[in-house]
Amino acid sequence: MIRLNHEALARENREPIEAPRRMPPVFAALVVALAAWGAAYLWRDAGEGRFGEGDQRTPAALLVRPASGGAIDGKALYEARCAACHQASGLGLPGAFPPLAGSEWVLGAASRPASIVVAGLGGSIQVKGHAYQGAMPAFRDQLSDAEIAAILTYARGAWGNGAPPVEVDTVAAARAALADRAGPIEGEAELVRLVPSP
Amino acid sequence: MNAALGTAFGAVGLLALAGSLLVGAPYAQLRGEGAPAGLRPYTAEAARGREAYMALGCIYCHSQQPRDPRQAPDAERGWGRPSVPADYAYDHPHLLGTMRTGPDLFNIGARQPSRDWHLLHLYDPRAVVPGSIMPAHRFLFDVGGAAGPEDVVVNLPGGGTAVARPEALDLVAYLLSLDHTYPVAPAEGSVP
Repeated sequence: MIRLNHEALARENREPIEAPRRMPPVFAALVVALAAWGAAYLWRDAGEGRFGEGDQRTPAALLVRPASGGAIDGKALYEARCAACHQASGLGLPGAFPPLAGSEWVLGAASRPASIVVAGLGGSIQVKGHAYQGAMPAFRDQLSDAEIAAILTYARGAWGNGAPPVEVDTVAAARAALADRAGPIEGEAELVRLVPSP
Repeated sequence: MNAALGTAFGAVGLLALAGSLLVGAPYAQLRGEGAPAGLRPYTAEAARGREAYMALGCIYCHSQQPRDPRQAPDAERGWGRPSVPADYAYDHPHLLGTMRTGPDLFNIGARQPSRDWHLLHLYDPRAVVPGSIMPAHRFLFDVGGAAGPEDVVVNLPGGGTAVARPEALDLVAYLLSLDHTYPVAPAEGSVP
């Protein structure tokens, strides 16, 4: 049997409850203001329904390949496209990537370096007395004839190289001659056979 | 009791609101975005390389999201046009990345199309990029053994060779597939 001690119960306080209280008006105003700001941001930024362009894009920036109206800077192109392997000094990396400075292939008939840049080069090639094995990628899809000509002209004139500039027509001819070719030129042997020195 | 009920409903309601605004609404907006014509799905080799990219933690230093010119000069850095949602059509999960300890790699396949360069760079980043702080990934290569006829041999500067393991070749195939240089046509009339 449990006997309740009513005296002890009477000493206890009631269970506390929170009295209902209104939200402070400042808080209510803040909530409304934040919601309105969010809605206005979404409304303004909806981009007229062009969600595929992403958030806050400059439409003109999505169109890559700016029309090359100005002069093409062969040195800048070389440093962007070629210097990672052949180095800014044109000396290459001995054992890994062949040099362009003083290279008999760069200084020789312009149609040969043009063909290499257009179609790429695999297999083995002898440069300045050292054999190089490697695979240079083709740049026919990435660079225009004028850009390739500018790069070659720079490479043939820099680092003590003294070969004449490369004409755009020479690159265009190399591109046309190698149009049907899928893979890279296979080494020195095929290069000499495909592109005879004039 | 009423307070608990109110809290529960409030919590579920907030979750539902946040979910519909942050997940539901973008999904509805972008579900019609197909893959762009210039984007090809990953080859099996590149897909394996993508797994290696994730496993090696490349994402902790490399982003894959060139920014708009208003936000960052990424185009001048040579990283390409700003990316759009459709560029990630085949990326599950996406590898946007949050850190740029190294350069953005969204267009590395176009910027550096040489497999030889990539292999040597993975083996010894300092050999091709002086001052690079990228860790060398020599464990992706076999050194000292004889190379078979099918092996891909990396010629090391100053002599010597290394044989690329399949993981290295897969990873490079993935990096070479990262080419998002195709143009994205903005909606008509949006270009001034």
